[in-house]
Amino acid sequence: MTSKILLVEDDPELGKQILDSLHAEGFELLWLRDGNAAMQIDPAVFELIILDLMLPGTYGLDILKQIRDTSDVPVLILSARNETADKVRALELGADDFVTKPFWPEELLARLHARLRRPALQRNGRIELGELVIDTSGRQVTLSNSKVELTRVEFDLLASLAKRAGAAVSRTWLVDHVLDPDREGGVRTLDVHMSRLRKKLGAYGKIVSTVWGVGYRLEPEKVTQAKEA
Amino acid sequence: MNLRPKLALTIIAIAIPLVIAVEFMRSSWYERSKRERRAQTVEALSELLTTRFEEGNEITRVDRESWRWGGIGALTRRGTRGGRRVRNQLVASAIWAYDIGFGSDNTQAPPFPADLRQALKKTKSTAHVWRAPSEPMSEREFNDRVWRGMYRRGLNPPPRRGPVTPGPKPRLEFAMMTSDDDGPAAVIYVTGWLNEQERDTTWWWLSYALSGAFLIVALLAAGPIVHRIRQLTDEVGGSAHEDYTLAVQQKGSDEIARLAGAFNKAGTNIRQQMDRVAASEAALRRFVANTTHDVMIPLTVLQGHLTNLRTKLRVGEDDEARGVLSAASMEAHYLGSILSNLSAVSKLEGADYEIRNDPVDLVGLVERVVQRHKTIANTRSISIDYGVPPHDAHALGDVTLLEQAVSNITHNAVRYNEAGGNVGLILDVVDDAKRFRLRVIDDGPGISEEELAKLPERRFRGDEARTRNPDGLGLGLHIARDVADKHGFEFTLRHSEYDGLEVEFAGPLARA
Repeated sequence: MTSKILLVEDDPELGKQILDSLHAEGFELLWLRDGNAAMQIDPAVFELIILDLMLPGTYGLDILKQIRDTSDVPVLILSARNETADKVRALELGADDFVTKPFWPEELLARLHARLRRPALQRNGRIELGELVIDTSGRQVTLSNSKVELTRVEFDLLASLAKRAGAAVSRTWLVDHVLDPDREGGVRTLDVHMSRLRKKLGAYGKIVSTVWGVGYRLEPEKVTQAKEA
Repeated sequence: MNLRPKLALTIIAIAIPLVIAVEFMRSSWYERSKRERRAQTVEALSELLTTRFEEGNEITRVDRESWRWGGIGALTRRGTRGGRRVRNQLVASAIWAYDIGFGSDNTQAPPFPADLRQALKKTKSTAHVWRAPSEPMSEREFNDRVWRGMYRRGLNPPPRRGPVTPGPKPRLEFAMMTSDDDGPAAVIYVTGWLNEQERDTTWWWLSYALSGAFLIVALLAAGPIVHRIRQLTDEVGGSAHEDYTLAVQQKGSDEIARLAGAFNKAGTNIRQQMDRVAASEAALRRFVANTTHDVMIPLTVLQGHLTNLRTKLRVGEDDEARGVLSAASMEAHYLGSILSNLSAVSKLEGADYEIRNDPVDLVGLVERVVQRHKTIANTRSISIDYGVPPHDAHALGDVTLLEQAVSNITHNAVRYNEAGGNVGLILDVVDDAKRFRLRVIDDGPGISEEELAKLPERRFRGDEARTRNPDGLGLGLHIARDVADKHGFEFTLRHSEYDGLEVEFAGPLARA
């Protein structure tokens, strides 16, 4: 499903660049160059609005206020002024994010994706990743319908990563929240547990990747690789 | 208007009612004494005449010599029984006798005044009238007349010198009915001048003297005060001229001294403000100068890269083109970071910049910083990743400065690393969710022990830290340290477990 995005930007070069990079990502875009035109639109039509604050003739914040009057659509503010006061004010008025110029096109895209990200669907505490099914309420893991024997720690580690699939979880967090507090265990112990977990998952162990310096991450996109194996 | 004229006017304004009041009191006192004086004279005269005509035998004499009895001076002539009191009070007096029809046997007697006649008819005993003050005859004239009168009678009187005070006097006309009803002395008529100038001159000068005295005393007292105020004015003017670096004298502890003290305080305040403004202006000027310089160079380099790129692509040297592109991207990235850093510097160096105390979303901050540097990291084949807690984590401060600080560290981590290297940003919540720890770890070259040791001593000096210095500690690191200090966060550099650098920011979390 293509997302319809509104861009309110007066600079022709910058606007064209944003238009091109968003199109390349598969977004549908409406580009308004004028603040007054932006006041006329109905925000309900859009999934996300990118709003430049410095528009000639109109206050970007006024447009933001008007949008917020009728809609909760995510609004991303673009501004050349890197002033904390502006950011705080914009956030107070209901903006969701603030991108200061200069920015890389990838930066803008990453922010867009973060705003448009759908929360992970968890029905009945069941997380399905290909053949791997994690039942968080029943505390059971099955791989191709056969049960995988995991220790308490190993299950908790997997569940923590799965609940935040795609995001890296720091070692410190895992040590503090998953490992047994009574037992002396630090980062080394954690690494040992993780390596055992991976072994038990077999080919699906690949979906648990090590994030350098940070910790671990469950990467659902690696499921296809695991399947092929 | 100046103080002394104002003071004078005030005193005059007070004096006028005072003068009027004193005048009023004085003249009513005077009026009273005048009335008393006149009443005394009338009484004395009445007594005298009664003694002479009722109790004495003057009537007999009048009967005998009625054609020549009486005249000027006859009332108080020596030898007559004129009371000394009357003699002193009534001057140039004359006495005449009239019968019941108000006619006199003495041809020299003046006609009997009509109003007196009316009055006498009413009272049937005595009556008197006071006439308006006028000059009595001169002493000499009087003496002439008396002398002539006496001379005519064949007498030789010595000149009479009465204590005649100069000036207009009121004239008394007094009439008394005697028991000599059908004789020539039925009515005795006396006229004379009151020997007192009824000019309201007593103590007339009192109120004016008092007011004058007040005025003079006040103006004299004002003298030193006015002088001190003028002196203070001069000193204030002098101090202002010297940009308030001079303090004014504070002598004593009265209001003027306190005014001097207040002025000194105000002057100190102004000096401080001026210093702050001057510092801000200086910082601004430096900023503008630095920006121009620091931006032009990378821009030029960037332009060079782009031209080079165009050339390489034109001749098909795609591989080299890619390298140039990577360098161009770095330059553009560097440009952006310079501008942000210069803005941060101008805030940090500004005399009156106060650190904000808004809640800063640390999770969002880490995400943004990594996204910011991902492009360049990818260009250089360096991996960059981050880990954050599954919940919000907020600290209090300035989001722009904090983001710039973390971004600077990350920028360095990427810049000084090589292809295949790694950078990681980890945000942890520790100490029972009371504190945060934000670490930037890399496996780059790190910082030597000596440089690490130098870091605390070396204060940030804008100019020399601004130029790119691949070996030394650059602007970005100093800004990061400054920002951490201003926020009260801990800022630690150490060797990472991966043989590179680990930079840690730590501080309290804001209460939710």
